[in-house]
Amino acid sequence: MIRKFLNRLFGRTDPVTYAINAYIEGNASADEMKLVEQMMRDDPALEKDLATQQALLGVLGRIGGIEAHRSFAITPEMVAAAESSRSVVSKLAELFAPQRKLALAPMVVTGFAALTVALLTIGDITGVVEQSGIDDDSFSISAIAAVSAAAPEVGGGGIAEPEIADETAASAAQPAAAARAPDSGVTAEDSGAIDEGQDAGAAPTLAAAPPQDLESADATLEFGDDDEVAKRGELIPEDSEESAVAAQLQEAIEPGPETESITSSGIGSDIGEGAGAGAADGATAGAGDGIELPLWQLQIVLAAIALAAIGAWAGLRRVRGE
Amino acid sequence: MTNFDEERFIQLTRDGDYDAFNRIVAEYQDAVFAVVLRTVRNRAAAEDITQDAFISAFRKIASYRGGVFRAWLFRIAKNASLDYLRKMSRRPETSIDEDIVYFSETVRDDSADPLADALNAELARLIEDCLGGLSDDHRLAMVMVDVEGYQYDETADSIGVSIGTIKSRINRARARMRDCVQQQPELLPASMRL
Repeated sequence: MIRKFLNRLFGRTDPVTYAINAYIEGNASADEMKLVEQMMRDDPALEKDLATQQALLGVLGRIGGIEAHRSFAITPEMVAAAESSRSVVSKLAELFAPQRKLALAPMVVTGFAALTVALLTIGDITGVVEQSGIDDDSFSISAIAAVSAAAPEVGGGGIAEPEIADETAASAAQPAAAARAPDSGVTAEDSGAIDEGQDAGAAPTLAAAPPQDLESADATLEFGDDDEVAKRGELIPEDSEESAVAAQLQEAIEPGPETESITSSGIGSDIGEGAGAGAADGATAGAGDGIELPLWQLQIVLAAIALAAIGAWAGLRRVRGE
Repeated sequence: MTNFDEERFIQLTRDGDYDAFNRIVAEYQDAVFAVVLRTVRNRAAAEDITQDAFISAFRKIASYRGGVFRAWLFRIAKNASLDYLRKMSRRPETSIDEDIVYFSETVRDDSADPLADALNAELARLIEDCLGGLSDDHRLAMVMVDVEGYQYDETADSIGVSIGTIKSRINRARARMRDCVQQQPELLPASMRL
């Protein structure tokens, strides 16, 4: 059964079939004759059966040829009429006619699209793939908001960043900060406790953050002129506890390629960034560290392709008059 | 056949020469028509299909990229024939049996015996019926190889399948034909009776 299937798949014929055909046609080779004779010894009825087929072939060969009683010569008018009567759709329909190799194309496209949609859905459920794309904006907003919300408390006096910490961002930051609060056991108003809480929450986040996150953090750290940076330098927490926190954070962000350029003046902001990144991580990585894909967009497009292929297939069948 | 320079006529046809193409038509029209008629078993339909096949061949001549030209023509005619049969099979109100083309007077026998002639005509009708009972693919293969006498490779090229597939189809078609004709043993020559 499997052998027959493989033979059919690769266009090969069973040697027995070759031998029997050749025997009936009277042009069997020595090996084929040997094989057929062996088969006839095993099954005596086969000899008469093959003789019948030989006689049948003789009768078929005696069937006279058919002559066309008219000429099929063509004229320019015939060709022009054929050209004009064939629309683009009918040409397409002919192209995908069942006996042609492209006949299965709509089915293959539909199957592929449906399978991909199913795999994406399964991947989404199991966390192998995650939605990406449009979440990037919300990610940055929440991160910036968390920076603005967390940085003043780390710095004790607070760093005023009106260009970033607008009301929207601040309101967005509240849920993020609140979401972290149960873990750290602090409130947003408790600046001293936040130092420890942020330390606990931010450091792993920074350690896990990919280099590009750190690069973008650097980019935000490098804003402003030298005076502003110097001013920030004055805001560095001076007590030993906060210095320890800063040291730990510095240690945590060591893997980043450009973390050496982070000055102590940026640490307060860095802590906030860490908090923001942690909040964002909670939003995106909560479902698992899967491959980020524009899931729903892909699913919609693939489903549309599948529907279009089915529609095209049905339409072409209709055009062909089936 | 001696004056038939196929390559030259094909080249002229590519340049839009209708006369050159009509020389090709004259050369192959009987062969194409015979295969189409024995496949679709309806003379009017076979004439339309053959005509359309030649028009289509003229329009598509640019896509002919060498090989046996007759096989290329057969492929076009085969596709048109199968399209027709598929349409007919989906229209139960239309019966192709209404205009069956029998192989009457076509089983050649040199004997002058009227009884033998009558038996041959009956046998031809039986064979036609049995051929009609085969699947389209099997019938096409059997008509080309066993009736028209084309080689396996040209038949495979014409139908667009491998030689192995053709041999397999021929093998099955012969077995089914044998079973079919055995149902009326009185019409068969002694050599065909089991």
